[in-house]
Amino acid sequence: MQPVNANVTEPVLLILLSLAAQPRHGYAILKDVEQMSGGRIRLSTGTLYGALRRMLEDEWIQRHKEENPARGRQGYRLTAKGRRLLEQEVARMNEFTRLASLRFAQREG
Amino acid sequence: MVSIYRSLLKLYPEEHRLAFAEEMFGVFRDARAELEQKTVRERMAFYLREITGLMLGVARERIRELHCCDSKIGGIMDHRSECRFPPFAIVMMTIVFLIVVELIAKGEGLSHYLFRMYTVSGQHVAGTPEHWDLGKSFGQWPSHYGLLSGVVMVFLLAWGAGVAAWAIAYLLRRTGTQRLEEFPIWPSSR
Repeated sequence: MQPVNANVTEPVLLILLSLAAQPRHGYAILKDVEQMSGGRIRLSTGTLYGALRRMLEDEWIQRHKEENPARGRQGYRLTAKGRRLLEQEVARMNEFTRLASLRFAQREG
Repeated sequence: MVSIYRSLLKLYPEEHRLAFAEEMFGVFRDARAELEQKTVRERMAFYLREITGLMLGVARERIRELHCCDSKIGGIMDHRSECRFPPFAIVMMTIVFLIVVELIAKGEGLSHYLFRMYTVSGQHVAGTPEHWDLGKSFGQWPSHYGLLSGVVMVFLLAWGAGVAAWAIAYLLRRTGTQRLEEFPIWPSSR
């Protein structure tokens, strides 16, 4: 089962998920991704900003002004296109999970 | 380490640097501030991850710079409609590189030829001191420093060609008065 978009790697998916709830700045995304993956995925700053750049170019996310911009912090939030992509990707994973459960049940039965 | 990281950020292409370098530095500083309670091993892992990530990011962005055309990052960057290195330029660069290598090889061959022509291997050149065995020492020089002699020879040839071109241009030069003479004379006002 192919991803909806070939650029949606696991770190990208986690970044999109991180921004789904609320806009965040770079460091907050790093921490959130680490927390969501249970410490398994620790993005470096270089990797994070490489991914953010691609996502900005694909218009999945956009920059927005932080209310309290400290240390040149820049906030990011999902665009409608990014949210749609994320929903499609989650739907694909749900379908995969449903299919897997079905197969496991067949084997056990 | 902070200053090293800041220096390494300069390796990114200018476009990326202008858009993200400050932010990346801020994130690195925030992440580093958390390290104080961490073990030495965790600190080492952090620095290793950051430096590796940054270097890979630099390589990725440099490669993108070679291939990418349009760039639009949240309206912050200018829209760039032309590739910095379109495929045609990359082909031309490869051809020029091959020509330069070929020229250096030719220059190396020429330097061998010239040294063999002017020195007699193993013989003492009349009129020079006894210990100046030019034949032996110079006869072997190009084979030891072949690439260097090739580069020097190409440089000398290019310099000679430049001087010749400049001399021709100088001989063919025309003064301002000579150029003005070619202008048609304006009809006198009535």
